[in-house]
This record gives sequence, C-alpha cells and structure tokens, in this order.
Amino acid sequence: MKPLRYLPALGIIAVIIALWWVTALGSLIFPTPLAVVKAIAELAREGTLLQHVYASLYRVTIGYLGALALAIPLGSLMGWFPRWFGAVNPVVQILRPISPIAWIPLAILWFGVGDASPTFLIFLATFFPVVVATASGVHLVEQQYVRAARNFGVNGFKLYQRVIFPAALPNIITGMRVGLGVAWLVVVAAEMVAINSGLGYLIIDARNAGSRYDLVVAGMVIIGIIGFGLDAVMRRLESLEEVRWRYGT
Amino acid sequence: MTQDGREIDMTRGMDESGLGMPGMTMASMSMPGMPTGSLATDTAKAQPTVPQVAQFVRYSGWPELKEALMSGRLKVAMMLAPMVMDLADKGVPVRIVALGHRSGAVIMVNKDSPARDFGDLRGKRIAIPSRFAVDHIFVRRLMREHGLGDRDLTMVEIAPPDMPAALLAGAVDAYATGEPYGAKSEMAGYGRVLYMTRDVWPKYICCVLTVREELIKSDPELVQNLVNHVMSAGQWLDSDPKHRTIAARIASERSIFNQAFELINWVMERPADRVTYGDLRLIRTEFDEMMRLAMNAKIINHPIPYETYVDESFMRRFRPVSISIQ
Repeated sequence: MKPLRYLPALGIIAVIIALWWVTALGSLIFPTPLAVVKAIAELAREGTLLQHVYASLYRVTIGYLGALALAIPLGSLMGWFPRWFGAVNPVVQILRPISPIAWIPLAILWFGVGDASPTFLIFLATFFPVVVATASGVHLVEQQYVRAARNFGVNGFKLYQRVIFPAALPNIITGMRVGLGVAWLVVVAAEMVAINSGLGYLIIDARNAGSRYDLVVAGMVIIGIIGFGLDAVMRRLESLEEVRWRYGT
Repeated sequence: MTQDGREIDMTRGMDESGLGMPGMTMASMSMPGMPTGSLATDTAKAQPTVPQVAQFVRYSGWPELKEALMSGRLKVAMMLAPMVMDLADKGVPVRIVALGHRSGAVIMVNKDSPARDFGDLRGKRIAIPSRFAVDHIFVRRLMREHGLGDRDLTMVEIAPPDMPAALLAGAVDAYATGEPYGAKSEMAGYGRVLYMTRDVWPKYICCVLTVREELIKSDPELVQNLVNHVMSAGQWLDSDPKHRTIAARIASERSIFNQAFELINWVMERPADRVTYGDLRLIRTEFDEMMRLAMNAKIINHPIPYETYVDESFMRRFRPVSISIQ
C-alpha cells in the first residue's frame, strides 16, 4: 500500500473541511467541524452511538437481504423469459420511482411502528434496482455460452445455476452495489417511521430538538462514513475472481 | 376593516386547529398536530389592493418552521412554547409576544378500548408527536397524576397526520396530539377521546406568537398591529359560536390548512372550548410552570428565565380592533 495514493483524496477532504469551518463560523444552524466531532464524542460517551449504528445496520441488512432474496429470482425470470418481462416489467417501472417516504402511511398501517416499517421501506427502495439490474444481466448473457452448455446437455435449473447466473453475476453485483447504496441512502427517510433508534432517527430527533444541529450533522457524517465502508466491501466483491472474469479479458 | 379582519382571521385559523402538517410525512416526528402555520411579515404584495398585516405561510413540519425562523427568513411564527424558550436561550433573537391558543390537545384511544382513565393505559403504547412537543408534557403530567412511572408507558414518536392510521391499525393503543388529528379519528368513528386538555388543563399553552427581535426593533408598529389583531381575533372567535363556523370555513381553505371544513368545524364546536382563543395574554407563572414541566420532560436541560424569551410590551399596549367579517 502506497500512502501517497491516498494523498489527493485526503487533500480534497481537508479542503472541504476547511471551507466548511469558515462557512459555519458564527452560524446558528450550521455547526463547525469541531462541534460535530464533539457531538459524536458525546454520543459515544452516552453509549447511544453504537446503538444507533447497530439499529440502522440491522434494518438495512434485513431489508437488503430480503430484497435480494426476492429481486434476484424475479429479475432472472424477467431477464430470461420475455413473457415474464412483458408481464412484470410495467409494474416494476410504475413502482420503482415512488419514494419510500410516500409509503410511510401504508407502512405504518401494515407493519406498525416497530422495526418492521423502516425495514419494509428499505426493502422497497432496494428491491427495484436489483430487479432491473438482474433482469438486464440475465437478458444480456451471451447466447454462445448458453448454446455451448446446451450442447453438453446442460438444461433447466442447472443451466441457470452453472451458466446464466455466473454470466449475469457482474451485472447483478453492480445492481447489488447500487441497491446497498440506495438502502443506506433511504435509512434517514425510513427511520422517520416511529422508532426510537437509528441514525435516521438521530437526525430527525435532533432536528425536532431546539437547537442540536451538531447532532444532525454528526448523524450525516456517520452515515457517510459507514456508506463509504459498505461501498468498499461491495467493491471487494466486484473484484472477486468469480466476477472479474468478464472484465478481465 | 373587513380585509383586515379577514386577514387576521387567517392568523386565527392558524392557531385554531393546528392542522399541522397536512399529509406531510416528512414532518417526521415532527411535532404536534398543532399549528405548523406561520406568518411571514412580508407586507403582502400578494393582493396589492388589500392592506395586509401579514401573509400566511403553512409549513409542513416544526423543524422546517423553526429553521426558517432561526435563519431569519421568517420574521413571525406560531411556534411551540418550549422550543422558543430553548431557541432564545441559545441566542436566537426571538421573543414571544402573545399566545396562539389555549387547550386543544387530546389523548385518543380506539373506541373499543376498555381504557376509562389514564391509569388504564399502564403497560400500553402511546404515540406522541415528538419528545419535544408540548403534547409530551401533557402526557407526562397525566402520568404523574395517575402514578405512572417511565416504565409504565411506552412512548413512540409518530407524525400527527399518521397517528389516526396507527391507532386504527392497532400499532398504538393511544395517541396524544394537537387538533385536528384527534378529531380526525373521532369523526371517522374509530377514535374516542380519553382526555382533552379542556377537562384537565384548560389553560394549556402550546403555540405562541413569536417574533424576531429585528422586526420588533425595525417596525414595532407592525408587531403591535399584529398582536392587536391576533388577540382581537381570539376574542372575536370566543364571543359567538357563529364566528367559529366562519373561521372554520376560512381556515379550511386550500391555501390555509387545506383540511375538510367539517373537521375544523368539529374541533371548533365539540365542545366550543376544545380549543380556546379568548385569553391570549402572557402570564409569567404559567410560563414558569411550562418551563419546569419542560425540564422534567427533558425538553430543556436548565431553567430559562421568563425575560429571556418574552416581550410583554405589545400585550400591555393591546388595543382591540374590530373584526367584521360575516
């Protein structure tokens, strides 16, 4: 690892923090970076920081995995069978652009006010990008692979498992990466639904308080850092041997 | 005068049922169903021929309203009293110059709920708009009176517009909010009023007329005029039931609360003192009590002196104006 590689990125971050600091001086709403660091330290001291992070990660994990479990099979069917695509795609495209925020009243009605509602909203937000990416990945699998496999007598689910899925995997992983980004993106909106923990809740609660904008920005910073970490993990996944083959050659 | 009256009536409308955030899910937790409206004292170019005291702007949630006031984009607002205390204490140049209304908060339960008094809610789940809402203070007070401790009641924060649905779905056993979100489930037939502030705390203060200090300095006459109108409109509203119907009609307009007239009128009439406007004076002892209750509810964390956040001078110089709308 060459530390020099990180220098430009760190430089840009330093410039942004410096600009932020100058802009925030004397503002009632916009806290300085120092105030934000202090707010994070305060949360850590109270022990609520980990609680919020854990709650959000838990909801995102369940919502995200649930979405993958449904979206990859459905996307595969849509990508492989034109009839499925014709039947399901309009519904997917109609539901896809609806912000999870709009679903909040229904989420409360169907799932109450526990963990289930925000998890459902994260599920919704994640589901569609993965369906679309999977469908297009499967659809674009090169026919020569399929034909070759069939010549060897590979058919049915085995064909999917051994040929189609691996061939579509790069697209699916890209969809998963986008989906995870979206899941994390909507965590603030999803946690508007009554609950008492989570980074989104932290932000909303701090806005409701008289003047705790240091906590609002602290929540933003923590969400950003965790999002960065999640994306790094997903990029690792993209560079696995099983996935790279397509880019490699 | 007609126009003046009407204009002010809009203000009144604002206090009156609160109608906080119609359909606004964003309002997160945002608070009370109480008035999210606010007044921008843009001396109204909207209708050039009409001399207006203020222009009515409805906000979708308390945080948005607070931020507009903090940044000075808004000069006047109907704000939650404890929030104004906190803001003034933190150096935001704002002052309370009059109340917005009294009473007007409710605790709702499902109509089939066996609960007859607050003690029956032991072990149950109640929705509040936010920890920082005055409704939270109302709940805390009832808890204390009925001997409920922190562990005896689970409070969940839900935006008031979502509360009726949460009650209907059984997600909560009760909810506390400002009107008209209580009346909503009552009118629809599945909600029942367990408590109204009128029964147990008729002097209840929630939203207060808050003005930025630079406006007080630069245009005290305008502020005086506003206070005169707000207080007169309050007296007008409480002086005749017909006035309440007129006000409900105006307040339900799309540009004001955008709520059904029947709903606002329900709040105005059942009973007539569900929300009151007749006495919008600032009373030190009441604010001191509110401040102590806010401390107990952990809305503020230290005592804030009355002088920090109140300017009584406009109320003292109050001159009634006649309101003549039909």
